[in-house]
Amino acid sequence: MTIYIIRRLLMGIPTVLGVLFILFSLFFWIAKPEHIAVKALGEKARAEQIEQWIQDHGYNLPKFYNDSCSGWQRITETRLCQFYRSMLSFNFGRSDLDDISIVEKIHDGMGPSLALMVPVFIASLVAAISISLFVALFRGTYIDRFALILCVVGMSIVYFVYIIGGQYYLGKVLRWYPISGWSSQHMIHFLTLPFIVGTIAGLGESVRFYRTIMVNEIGSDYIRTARAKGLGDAAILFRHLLKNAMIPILTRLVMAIPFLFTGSLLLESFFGIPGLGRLTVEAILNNDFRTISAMVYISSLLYIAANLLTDISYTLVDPRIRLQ
Amino acid sequence: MSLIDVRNLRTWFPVRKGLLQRVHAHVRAVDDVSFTINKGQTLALVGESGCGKTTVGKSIVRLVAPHEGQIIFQDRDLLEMDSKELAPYRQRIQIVFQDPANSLDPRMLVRDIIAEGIRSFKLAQTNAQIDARVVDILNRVELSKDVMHRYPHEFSGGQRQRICIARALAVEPEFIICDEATSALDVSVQASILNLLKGLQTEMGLTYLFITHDLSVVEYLADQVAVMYLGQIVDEGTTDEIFSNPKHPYTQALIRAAPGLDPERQQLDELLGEVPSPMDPPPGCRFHTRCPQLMRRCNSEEPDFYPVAGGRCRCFIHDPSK
Amino acid sequence: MLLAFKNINHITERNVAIGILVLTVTALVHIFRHPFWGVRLRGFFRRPLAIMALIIALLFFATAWMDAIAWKDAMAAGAEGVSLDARESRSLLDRTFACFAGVPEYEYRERSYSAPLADHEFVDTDIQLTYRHLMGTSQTGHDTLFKILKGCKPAVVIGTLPLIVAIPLALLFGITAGFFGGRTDDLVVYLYTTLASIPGLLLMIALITVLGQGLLQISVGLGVTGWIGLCRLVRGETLKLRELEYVQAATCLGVPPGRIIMRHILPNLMHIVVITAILAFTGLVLTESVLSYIGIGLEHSWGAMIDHARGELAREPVIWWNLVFASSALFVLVLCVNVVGDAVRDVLDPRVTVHD
Repeated sequence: MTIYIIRRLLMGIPTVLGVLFILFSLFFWIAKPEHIAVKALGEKARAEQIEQWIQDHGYNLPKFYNDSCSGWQRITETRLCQFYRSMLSFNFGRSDLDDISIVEKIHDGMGPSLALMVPVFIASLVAAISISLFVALFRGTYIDRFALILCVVGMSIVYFVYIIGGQYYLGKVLRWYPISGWSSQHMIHFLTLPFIVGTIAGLGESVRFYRTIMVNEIGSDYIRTARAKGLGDAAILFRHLLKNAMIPILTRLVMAIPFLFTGSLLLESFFGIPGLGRLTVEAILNNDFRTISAMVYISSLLYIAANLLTDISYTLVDPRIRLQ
Repeated sequence: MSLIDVRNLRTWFPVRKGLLQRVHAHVRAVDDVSFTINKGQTLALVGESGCGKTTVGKSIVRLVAPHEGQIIFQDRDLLEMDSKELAPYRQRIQIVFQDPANSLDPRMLVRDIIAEGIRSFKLAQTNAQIDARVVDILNRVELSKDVMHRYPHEFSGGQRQRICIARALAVEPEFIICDEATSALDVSVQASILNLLKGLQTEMGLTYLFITHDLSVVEYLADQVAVMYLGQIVDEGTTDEIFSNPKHPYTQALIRAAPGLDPERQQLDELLGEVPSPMDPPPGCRFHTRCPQLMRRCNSEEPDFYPVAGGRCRCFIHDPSK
Repeated sequence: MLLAFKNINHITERNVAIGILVLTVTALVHIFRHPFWGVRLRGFFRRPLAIMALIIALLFFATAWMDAIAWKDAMAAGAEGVSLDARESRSLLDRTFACFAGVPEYEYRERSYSAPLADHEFVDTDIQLTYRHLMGTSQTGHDTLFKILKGCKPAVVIGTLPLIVAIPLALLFGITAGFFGGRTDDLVVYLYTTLASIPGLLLMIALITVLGQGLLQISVGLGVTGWIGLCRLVRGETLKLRELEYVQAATCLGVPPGRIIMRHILPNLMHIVVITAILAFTGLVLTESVLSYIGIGLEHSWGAMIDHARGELAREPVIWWNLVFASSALFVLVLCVNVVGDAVRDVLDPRVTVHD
């Protein structure tokens, strides 16, 4: 078991390096430094200013191989190596846009993101599982059919419509909640509307997912045996079904964890929550490559960690899966 | 004259473990198997499931890579050949699988299934020639030529097995491996397929390696029988001798456990215990953990083949020096 | 090589839409000529809901194709006194719409907003309108219904073009990895785990910001992120198929690996490709609207319309029709394709059988 975990951790290393290489090639190999400089300094910047800016930010180094140095420095004194160094040490530097430390920005954004996403995560999980259990009990009836159609309808609505509809109806017509905005004192006041919208928007897809799992489990032999033994529906539900449907559910849950930290791009930017999602959207809108790559890097790390976590949790839930 | 001579065949599958995925152990699916089959004869390879008999068949057609040993087919060692050299030999050795449901591509017409080998070995050039051959082969396996333009799912298990045999026959092989070819069929269908195979053998001079766990089939079809246990052949002899006077305790147990149609027998004798893991075979005689005639030396010394009437046997009971 | 994409802007939606039409027709003809598919797909036509959804979805596609077929009026192009608009080539859709709406000029415009079926302008209520607009007009006075119809083409194109990028990639990598195994497999698995570790939307946005904006760029962005899921499925299925007896029998019959893949593996995993493609279509159309919000979507798409109409709800009195109709169009198309996709999956994929 320990050996397995160590192995999995080691296998994550090439993946992280690969992710960084993709990021580097996307942002710093293809995009010209002059463009970034012009973006940061404004269209009217003078040539010397741009030159100076490029120097300051280390964009003047060669990309992969430095001819002017000797020995190891040929490789270390390059943009690729510097990029790897800064990313792996979590020393993201300053934003190209406003010269504020990226680490600081991320630190500030994490709180609001978590404050929004954790309740959304828990609420949608509870809602989706209880609804899908209910639907699965009535499988094959009109309730089931109707619920399935509702799920597909829910999946087919664009995310914006949930947001705009929520803002319009609950915010503007009923005036229950503010349409958007943020203050750290009245967090709940501002977070309720995005919370409701975020929970409802994902419901169709997850109910359908969980229902499929439940219905498949209900059809399996051990549930029939349990029923033949005379166990009540509730007992079957909680003692057998949920336990055995755990693996697909767990995968889904753990894979959602990275998004708790990185926040929701759309929810945050529509509701004006200063979280990581909005940070990312703003960075994208302003071509702030350093901030984007830091955000992408962090989400990838979280994703890789979550992947590892699911694999390990499999062994805990299902003793049959013994990892070699 | 021997057509195929398998010598000391070993097919091991590595089991990887640990941080660096080093090879930690081997599953010894086939461990030192030797046999010869004469031209026009049938050897039946018998054993419980998991004893490695299917791996022997797949090793001969190189669907799995053997570890070591020799497979001499008409004076050439198949295992020394690269894929280019092997190509003409592929035509001469064919295999018929157990599961008729999965052995035919569901998206191909029967005609194309049978013609596949004809095309790949370029046995006929024009479409008309190919069709003529396909019709001829369908006749041999007693199917009408209307089936050519139908899909596998339209046929019953027995008919599908006939198509599989036709596919193998289409390339004019000399040697056919039947891997549990009749095990998935009903008894009545089984009989017709066995009759077909026997008829084809006399008609075309085919040589069979018949892999099965079903002893009743063996008695009908085989000239020679080899009994496998845990990756090794433990008993070998003529069919008559094996059935009328089995030498090895395992063979005896197998025959006694086989349900026959004898109304006198009230109960079948069971063979006790489970087959040990081929990853870690027991020391000494591999059968000693379940043997009813256990002797002192069985769990320490490994028995060699000892000649017995009509064949040879890997059991200390028949050790002449005893 | 990547930079070269920046210069490819002459690939227009029109060409792509016609290309897709040709591809779809060929694929359909091929599928229905093959009895194996015919038998399976017959089950589809026993589902009234699915048929209805298919018909509606096909209407959207037909509108897109009508918009793709365009020609110039020889008379108008040379004649004097004809407005500049009329010299451009007009699509079949433009002409049909003009015919039915009874609007003589090319794309008749009001001055500003008008509500659905109103006979006077929305803001300046004194001004009488010449025509009533079924779905109202936008701020610039364009007929909303017409804009909705025009939005079919970008939607269809963005739902399909990335698939044309992604499916060959996924098949190539997935089948080679699954069939040959060993180092090739390790490499492909590494490649897709690495790509999958980057959040899809971010990778897509990053690709598009770097490659530049444009139909092909967006499609490449969507395609590169989209092949991973299918590749995983294809690899898994190939691993399973490789062990099947008929593939092994083909090896014994001396069929070379390349031909085994083409004749036995590829046709037997095509159903997965079809199911994934149909369901991916909806995801792509929805994603495009998110891209529109970030400002890197397609022009004249419903996503762009929704994005423009976002602020209109805040006005007093509320201007709702642009938002409502654009999102309804998007919703109806996505819903119908989802329903069709579900039905096709139930018919083609024996694994997803629902018990009881």
